Order: sequence, then structure tokens, then C-alpha cells
Amino acid sequence: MIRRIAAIVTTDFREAWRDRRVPLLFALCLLLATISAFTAADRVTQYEAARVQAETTEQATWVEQGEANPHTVAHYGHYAFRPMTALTGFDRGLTASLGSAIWMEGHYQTPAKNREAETMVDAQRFADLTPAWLLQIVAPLAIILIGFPLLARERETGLWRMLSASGIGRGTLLAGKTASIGLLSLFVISPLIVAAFAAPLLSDGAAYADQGVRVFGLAGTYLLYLAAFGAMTLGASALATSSARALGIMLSIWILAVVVVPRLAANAADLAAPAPEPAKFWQQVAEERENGVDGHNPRSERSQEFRQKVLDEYGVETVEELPVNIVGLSMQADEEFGNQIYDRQFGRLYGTYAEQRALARPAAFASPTLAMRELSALLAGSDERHHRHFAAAAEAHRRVTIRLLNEDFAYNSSGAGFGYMADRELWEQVPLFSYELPRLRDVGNFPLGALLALVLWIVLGFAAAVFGIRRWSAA
Amino acid sequence: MSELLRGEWRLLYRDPAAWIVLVVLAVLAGFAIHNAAAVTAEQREAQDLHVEQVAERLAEIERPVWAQHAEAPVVMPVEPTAVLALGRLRLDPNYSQVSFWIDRDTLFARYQTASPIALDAGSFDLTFLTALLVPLLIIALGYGVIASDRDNGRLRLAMSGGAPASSLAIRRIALRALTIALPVTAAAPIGAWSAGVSGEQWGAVAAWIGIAWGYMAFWWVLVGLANTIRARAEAIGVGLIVAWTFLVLVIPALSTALASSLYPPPSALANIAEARQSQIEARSRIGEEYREYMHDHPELVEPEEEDLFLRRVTMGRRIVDRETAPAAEAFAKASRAQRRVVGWAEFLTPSLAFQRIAGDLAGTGETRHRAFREQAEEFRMEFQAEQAQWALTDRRLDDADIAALDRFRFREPALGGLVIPFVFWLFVALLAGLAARRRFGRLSPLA
Repeated sequence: MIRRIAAIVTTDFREAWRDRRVPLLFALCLLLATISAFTAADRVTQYEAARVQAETTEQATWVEQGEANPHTVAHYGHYAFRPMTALTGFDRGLTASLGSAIWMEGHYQTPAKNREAETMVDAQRFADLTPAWLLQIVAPLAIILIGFPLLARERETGLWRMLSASGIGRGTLLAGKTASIGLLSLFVISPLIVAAFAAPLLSDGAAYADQGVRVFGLAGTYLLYLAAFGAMTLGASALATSSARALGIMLSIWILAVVVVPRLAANAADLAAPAPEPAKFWQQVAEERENGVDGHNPRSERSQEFRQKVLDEYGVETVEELPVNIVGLSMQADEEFGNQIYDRQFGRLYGTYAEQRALARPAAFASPTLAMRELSALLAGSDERHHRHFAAAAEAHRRVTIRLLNEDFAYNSSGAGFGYMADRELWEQVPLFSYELPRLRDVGNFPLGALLALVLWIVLGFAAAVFGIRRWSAA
Repeated sequence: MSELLRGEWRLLYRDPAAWIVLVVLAVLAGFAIHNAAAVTAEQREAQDLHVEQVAERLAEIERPVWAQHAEAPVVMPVEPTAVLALGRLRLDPNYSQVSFWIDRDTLFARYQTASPIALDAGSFDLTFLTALLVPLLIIALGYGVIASDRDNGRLRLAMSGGAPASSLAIRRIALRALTIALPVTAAAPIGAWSAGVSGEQWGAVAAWIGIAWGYMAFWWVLVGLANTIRARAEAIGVGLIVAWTFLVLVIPALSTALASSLYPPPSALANIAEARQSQIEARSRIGEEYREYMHDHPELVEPEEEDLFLRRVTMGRRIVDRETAPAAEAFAKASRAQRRVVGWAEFLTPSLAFQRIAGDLAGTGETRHRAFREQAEEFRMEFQAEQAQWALTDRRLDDADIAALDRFRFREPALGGLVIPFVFWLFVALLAGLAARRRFGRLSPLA
């Protein structure tokens, strides 16, 4: 049987080579892969160099800022820059739309700025030449163009009858064609696979502690994804009465799965659970800060209560008798109240993103590309869950910094008020922001549904191939 | 309608593929309009809310108002034509405000709340449908328009009436083109009407339909030309898909990658860090800056109660504005250079040319958003220069002063030069159409 399978593969390879599909597709993949690997690695390396330089400048500026009032310094704030990992060179995921720098200032938790998407031209947002984009978009097309005639041609040219007469069964033929599509595809897209490994290796990006698990996961999920397109192509080729029809079916599936459904699903999810417009988002934050979460805890009452509490604590009658600066204490109390509001509002914002993801996920059963995009971005650490982890770390750091500044103002400025100046000693007490990259288990549950969708596409593809080939007449 | 045309119409009418294309396109166009109309309405509502918020904040301040408390909204009007192309509407900011406390770095701040999932996927609108999907549907309906008949020997029968192959191809292509153009053409005015397009804006809608027709014509000409090649319909189909992949995916991806590599913009992160350094260093030079400022403005008198805080903010911002200007200009220059490279790529693929001009006609393209950022920054400088003079002389504003405050008015950028690549592609389509007609003329029914 193995010899027969080898014969089928050899014949298919020869034919595909002769009609120039294989060399042309290989050359195209080689060109795209080469450019993609170098530009992706260069992007990560340049970003990381700039980030390290910006961090160094930022830290030096912070420590060397000279004498200043702590509250002025809280307003100047400082920045947290998100590291770009080597795996982001493979799959940029959502990072271009998420921003990489968070301004940590007093009173405000801010969303990340410096979104790469804003400096991209519109076309780049759909056609972004990363190794992951090539594997998600171009590789399935290459597999379809390689595999569409494999079974249909045997049937339409009548070759199947001759093969059948010579003792080759349906099972052997299907096994041979499976090996053909697998090996031919592997050959054609091999430059894309090399680029996928080369881009992270060539870059100076940071590495995750569980990098091995991630790489293994990426390799496994992409194998499933490409196998799904291979299986579907075989299925279409077995069911169709001609190669042209098989091609038509598969191109329709590719258009739906790759071009239409991902965009349709994301837009429909955004319609169903819209993320708030900035004006609305900040209006809600301002209202809750002013009136409390339930609208019954206005700022004026809160400050009055706080003032009384501090006076009682120190056993004095007036603010002037206090050994501390009540302005500093009040600002910290207001920060802590604000933090609850931010936790609630940003929690809701990220909740909306998660809801959109959940709403779009069932569409993965109509589009393996949608499933693959989610899995790939998660494993490469370029999805919104990893971003949230970074944003949470930056926010925790902001809170520590602002508390230190407010407390210094409260306990050391008595009498001097805003004329009080702190110095390097205080700036050095503020810990430097250092971000530890998360492990996969730190960012939430693994989307098993997406994985299941890929497996289902493979099963469906092979079932169609088996069903189709059984209907063939041997006569 | 001639008998031949009626015959072709009957054939198309019985073709399930044509019905599938028509239904799919109508459903997708319906969703595209619905989606774009919802996003457009949401953006306009947010702009109104923002303007109200600024007005409310001003109204709540006790009169007379200290000059430093004055602020003004800056808004790039979202036109209802955005229903045709959402472009950069959800990505780039289209409103903000200018006040005493805003600097170049914070003019547009805290606006990044849009869903990254939707941003990454891209907008589902009529321009996406026309730019990416319509060419595929054209290929699906047209790859075998003549070649299929030639493959199965029916071309001889079809040409038995004496009509040349070119007439047959034109008839068939025209009917199929109508099947695809109809939903797109109908969807555009329906969407525009439902979004509230009025007056001169209909001109932009008509222009959008015009360029959509031009773009579709290019693809039909390409399909027609491909049908003159002596190859099986299946091979023609594959060739056209490869052409689509190149024109719609590969060339845009390569050109943008090339543009970023040739003209990498200065690092935004380095800009941030330098701006911060400049902000903090400015603190120590405020006195000197103030002396120079007062020297340059002899009309100003020293405030009676010198406000150190306001002086610090004003002078600090002047220093930072001046020192960060070269970095901002370098960034803008690199972006312009990148844009030029991608602009040249519009001569390599009509897809890029169509998408850019469609976005700009709808008022959501890069040209308009870039103009808004530049104009908002200009306005900030002007507004703050005036405000600084008032603030430094303890000037307070009454209602009349507030009403007379400088207002931001967005000036529409000129779009003239943007049509050149698209006109080029129309010319290419015309030449290719003439070539296809000539080649069809040479086609023998016995071929």
C-alpha cells in the first residue's frame, strides 16, 4: 500500500510541477516569506531598542527632575512602555490597535496610547505582511490551488476507473491524495513556515517564561488550521463533478472563511455589544467621581466626612491644628475613591471586549480563520487579554507612585502647602516600573471552542472526502 | 431589447450562480449599510455630547471667568456620507477640546476606547464590500463568460447568428455587470438617505457611485480580457484569483511594508520620553522664558497679583512646544514620505486607489483626519497664545467675552490630486477593454 501511495504522490507532484502551479506558488511564498520575516524582525528590534532607550530616558528624567511639589510631579506622571515580544514579530495580533504606552498620572487611569494602527495606511490593516498573516490568509489559498484537482481530476478524466481496475481501492486513493496534498502543501508553504520561525529568532524581542509552550501551541494550532483547509479541499475535490467546480467551492469557502466572516462577526459583535465612545466613557467616570457609584455619595459630602474623620483621628478641632497637611490626605482619599470607579469602568470596558469576543466566537464554526486568529494572538501574547495584564500592572504601579507622592505631601509639607518641595530622595523611593510578562495561565481560560472548531473542520473535510469518494462509480 | 440580449438575459435568469451572487450581495450590502449607519450615528452623537459637555463646564463657572478656565471644542464634523466608508472613523479621534492645560501631547488624549477586536477586523461597509468582495463576485460570474462555451463547444452555436464574439462577450458581461452593480448602486443612496445626507453631500454620494462603477468596470475588463486567452475556463478562474490576490492583498501588503522600511517614522516612544524630559527641564527655565516673553510683549503689563502658577504653566508650555516641534515635524515628515510611497503603489493596484478616494469622499479618509489633527494643533497654539495674554494680566471674561472666543472651524482639505491614480486606472481599463474587444474580434467560432 505504501508503494502505491508513494506512486500517487509522485504522479501528483509531477503534474502539479508540470502545470507550473507548484513552482509559481513556491516562488510567491518565498518572496512574501522573505520580506515578511525581515520586516517583522526589524519592526520588533527597532521597537525594543526605542523602548529601552525611552525607559532609560524616562527613569533618568524622573530621578533627575530636581525639587518639585509632589502633587505637580503626580500631574507630570510617568510612562509605562509595553515590551514587544519576539512572538509579536510572528503575529502582531491586536497590538496595533491597543497601544503600547500608558501615562500614569495623578487622578486618572488612562487607556494606552501610541497605537501602531494610527500610523498605518488603511490597506495595511487588512493586508499586514506578518508571518502569521501569511499563514492565515495566503497559505490556505496555496493549499486550495494545490489540492482542488487532486480527486476531481481522477474522476472527470476517467483515470479512476483504470486505477480501480488495477486494484487500487478508494481507501488507498484517499490515503495517497491525503499524502499528496500534505506533502505538496508542505513544500509550497515551507518558506512561510521558515519565516514563522525566523521572524522571532531574528528579532531582539522579549521572551515569555513559557515560550516553549507557546511555540508548541502555535505550531500545533497552525497545523490543525492548515490541515482543516487541506481536508476541506480534498472533500470538495471528492464531491465535485469537475475540477472547476471543486475550485469554485473551495474559493467560495476561502472567501467566506478568510475575507467575509471574520469582519462580519467582529462588526456584528460590536453592534450587539458596542464599546463606549470616549465622550460617554469619561462622562460616566466624571459623574461617578462626582456623585458616587450609586449617585448618592456626592463629592462635597465625602470631603466633609473625610475632614471630620481626620480631625477626630488626631483629636483636634480645626484643620490648622493638624500636624499633617489635610490636602495631601484628601487627595489620597480621592485617589482611592477614584480607583474604585476606574476598576468598575475599565472592568466594564474590558468586559465589553470579552463579550464581543464571546459573541463572535460561534462564527468560528463558519470560519476556521476566525478561530485561528484568536488562538494565534493568544499564544503569541498579542491579544487584548495580554494587554489587559500589562494595563493592570501599569495601573498598580500608578497607584503605588501616587500614594507615595500624596503621603509625602501630607506628612512632610505641613504649613508650606503647595510651596513644599520634595527632592531626589523621594523620587528614588518610587520603585521603577518593571513589567513581568505573563504566563498563559495568568491571562484567562484557553478558548477551547476555537480549538474545537478547527478539529470539526478537519473532521467535516475528511467526512466529505470519504462520502464523496464512496459515491464514485467504479464502472 | 434585441432578441440576442433577451436570449442572454433568459440564460442568466436561469443561472443559479447569478441569483446566489445577487442575494449574497444584497444581504451583505444591507448589513454594510446598517453597520455603517449605526457607527456614524454613534460618532455624531458622541461629538454632540462632547460639545455639550464643554459648554456645560463653561456655563457652570462663576462669572466673570478667569481666562485660564476658558476652553473650546475642536470637532471634525462626521458627515452622513460616512455611511459609505467608515474609514478611520473609529480609529482616529475626531473631537477634543483646547484649554489652558492642554499641550501638544495631550491635545488628543484618552480617546482609545474603541474595541480592538473590531478595529483589527476592519469596518464592514460598502467600500470594503466593493473593494474586496465585489471583484471576487465579478470573477465568479465572469471567469467562464466566453471560455466555458469555448471549452464545451457551445461557442460555435452561440455565434451561429453571425454576431462576433466581441458583441456576445459585451452582452454577457453587461448583463452580469448589471447583476452586481445593481445592489451596490442601490445600497449607496439608500444608506446615504437613511443616514441623513442632504444638499451638496449628494454630490459626494454620486461621486462615490461613479468611482465604484469605474472600479467594477476595471474588473470586468480584466475578466473579459482573461476570457480572450486560449485556456480552459478553470485556468482562467485560477489566473483571475491570483490576480485578485496580487492586486488586493499582496501589492498593498508589500507597498506598506516597503514604505515602513524605507521611511521608518522616528520612534513614538522616543518622542514621548523626549517630550517628558523637555517638560521637566522647562521648569528650571521658566523665569528666563517669562522675561523674554514680557520683553516681546511690551503691550502687556505685569499682573497686579502675579500668579506664579499660571506663569509657570504658560511659560513651561511655550518651552515644551518649541522644543518638541522638531520631533513632531520629523514624525509628520516621515509619515508624509510613507504616504508618498503608498501613493505611488496606487498606480500598481486600483484597489488602493479606490479605497483611498472612497474614504476621502465619505469624509473618513486619511487626508481629512490628518488635516483635522493639523488644524486642531494650529488652533490650540492660537487659542492658547490669546489665553496666555489674558491669564498673565489677570483678565477675567464675561459672557460677551466667552461668546467672542475664537471658535474652531474645520476647513475641508482639497482632494483634487487624489483622483490621479484612479483616473490612471480608468485609462488602463479603457485600453484593456479595447484590447479585449480586438482579441474577441479575432476569435474564431471554431477555436
